[in-house]
Amino acid sequence: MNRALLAGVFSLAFLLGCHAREAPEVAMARVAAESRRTQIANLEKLIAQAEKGEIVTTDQIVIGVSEELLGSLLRASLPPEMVIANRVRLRIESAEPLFRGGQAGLLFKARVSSTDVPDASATLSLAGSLEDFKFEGGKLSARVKLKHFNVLESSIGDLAANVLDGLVRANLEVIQSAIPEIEVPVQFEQAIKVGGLTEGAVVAKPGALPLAISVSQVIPANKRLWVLLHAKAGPWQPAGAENGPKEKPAAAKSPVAKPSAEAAR
Amino acid sequence: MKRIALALVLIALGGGAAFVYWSTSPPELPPPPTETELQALLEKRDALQQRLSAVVVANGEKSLASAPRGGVMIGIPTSFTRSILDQIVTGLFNELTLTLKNLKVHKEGEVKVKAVFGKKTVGKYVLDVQIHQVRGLLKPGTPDVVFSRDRVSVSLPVRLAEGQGDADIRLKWDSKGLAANMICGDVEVTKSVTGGVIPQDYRLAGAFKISSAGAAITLSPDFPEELQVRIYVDPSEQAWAAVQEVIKDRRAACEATLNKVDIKGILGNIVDRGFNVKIPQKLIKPIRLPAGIKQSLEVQGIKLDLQLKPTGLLVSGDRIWYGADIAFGAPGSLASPTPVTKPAAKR
Repeated sequence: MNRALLAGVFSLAFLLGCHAREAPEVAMARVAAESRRTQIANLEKLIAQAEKGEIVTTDQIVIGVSEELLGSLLRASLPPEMVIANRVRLRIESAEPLFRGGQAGLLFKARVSSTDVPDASATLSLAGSLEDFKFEGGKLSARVKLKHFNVLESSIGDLAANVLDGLVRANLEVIQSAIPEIEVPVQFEQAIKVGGLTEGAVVAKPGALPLAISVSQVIPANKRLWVLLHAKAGPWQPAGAENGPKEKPAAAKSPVAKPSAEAAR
Repeated sequence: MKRIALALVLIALGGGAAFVYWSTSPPELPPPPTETELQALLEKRDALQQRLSAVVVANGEKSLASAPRGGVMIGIPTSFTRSILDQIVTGLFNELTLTLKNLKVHKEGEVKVKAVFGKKTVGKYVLDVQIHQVRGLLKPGTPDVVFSRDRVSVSLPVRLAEGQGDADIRLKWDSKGLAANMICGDVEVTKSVTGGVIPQDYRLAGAFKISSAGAAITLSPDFPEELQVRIYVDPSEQAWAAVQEVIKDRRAACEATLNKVDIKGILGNIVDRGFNVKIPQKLIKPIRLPAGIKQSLEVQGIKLDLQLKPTGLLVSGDRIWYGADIAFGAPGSLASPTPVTKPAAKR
């Protein structure tokens, strides 16, 4: 009787949780194809906008950051390890930006191991994008948004891989918020201060030229992240002048090009 | 009986599980993409990226293709740079004041008249003009800003727009001889006068050299000649009237004698020469353009030094481009000094 019961329970578990997993390369191929289709759609939209004159860049400051540099920054910014739900340790082992076709994609590879059974481990691929570009306090930064993940290899069998799948899915936001904001290493002054001069008969007042800079568009293309910034200078404020309403850099807008995820090579 | 019941329970469980599985399982996936399909998507995407670049260039980004590559590329529109230069240069010259204080002019001489035996000295005069203050106010016009290979030339019209001054004129007359003493006696009179400043136009011409000293683009002033402004005082009607009063208050014979001093002529000479004021070149200081590359970052609470290696600087008609590669130094280590980059040829 016990055997029969055990057989039944296993059958049930198999039916409920252990449906066959796709091979990692097949899953990755699907994601790559989907990503490229999205990129094609993004590009067609951008080209149409540009041809209609809706994308005006010439009066904006352009910052172009290479995938290599952003990758190095990203890797330097990653936390060494994080523990999820007190059950698994997750260590991001590689991070690769993919700035193609209007997508600021990010691809991570992570090693996951059980906190209780260190030998039980799996490899995860996580995909996301850089979003919410903002310019604040002279800093240009963006957040990592995770969107997909996939269990690539596991030493724990399909059943445990499915449990891991559920655990990561439930804690994707926790993993995401453990990745700090990525700062692009560019700096912007918020004003140009100019000293005056008092020499002999000449008295020139010092003053400052306030600058208002805000993110206008983000266009990831050709392996580079292009950040376009609205910039306005002035009016000149002589020192000692009545302090009128000082222009502050406008609040950063969300990027027009909404980068999404994934492998694009 | 028990066995039959157990078998039925298992069958029921199995059936339920099968129902749950089939009702919750995701729809069947389409066949995965083939290598050929993936390659075709890649080629289409790359072609569209090229097309997007071409459209962006056609829309005005003329220098994009020749911009210096690097880990970071910064392109500052020349229109924005022009706006910065316009406002800083005009801001500095706007209401720039030129104030001359305590200028003193001293003139003395003798007045001689014809006598029976030659000429005779009838008196000595001392004319002191003390200009307490002359103040001129400059107003800039709209500068012409022209970008070239490695510099941006600036030509700024400046007007000495207005001004005023005040002075004391003191005339001391010492009659010589009995007759002169009887006619005029000794005179000492001081009159306060005011005047304006004659507007004059000037042009400040020079350039800013464009270079990159590692982290940012700097515009260094190169104004070979200092601007020389000459302030011409325009005495007011009241001033000339006051000068006349010095003489007119005397008796007719004395007035005729004092007229020989030609106070008006002496004052006219002083006014006509004007006062030269040089505006020091150091008034115009280097300007750092507001977008640059950081030399360190704080990552997870640790300062990470960034070593910049400039890859080029390009001044074109639409943008000033600056490119640099960045290497990460050890946390807290000193970044090596970065060389100055001069612009590449204009495209």
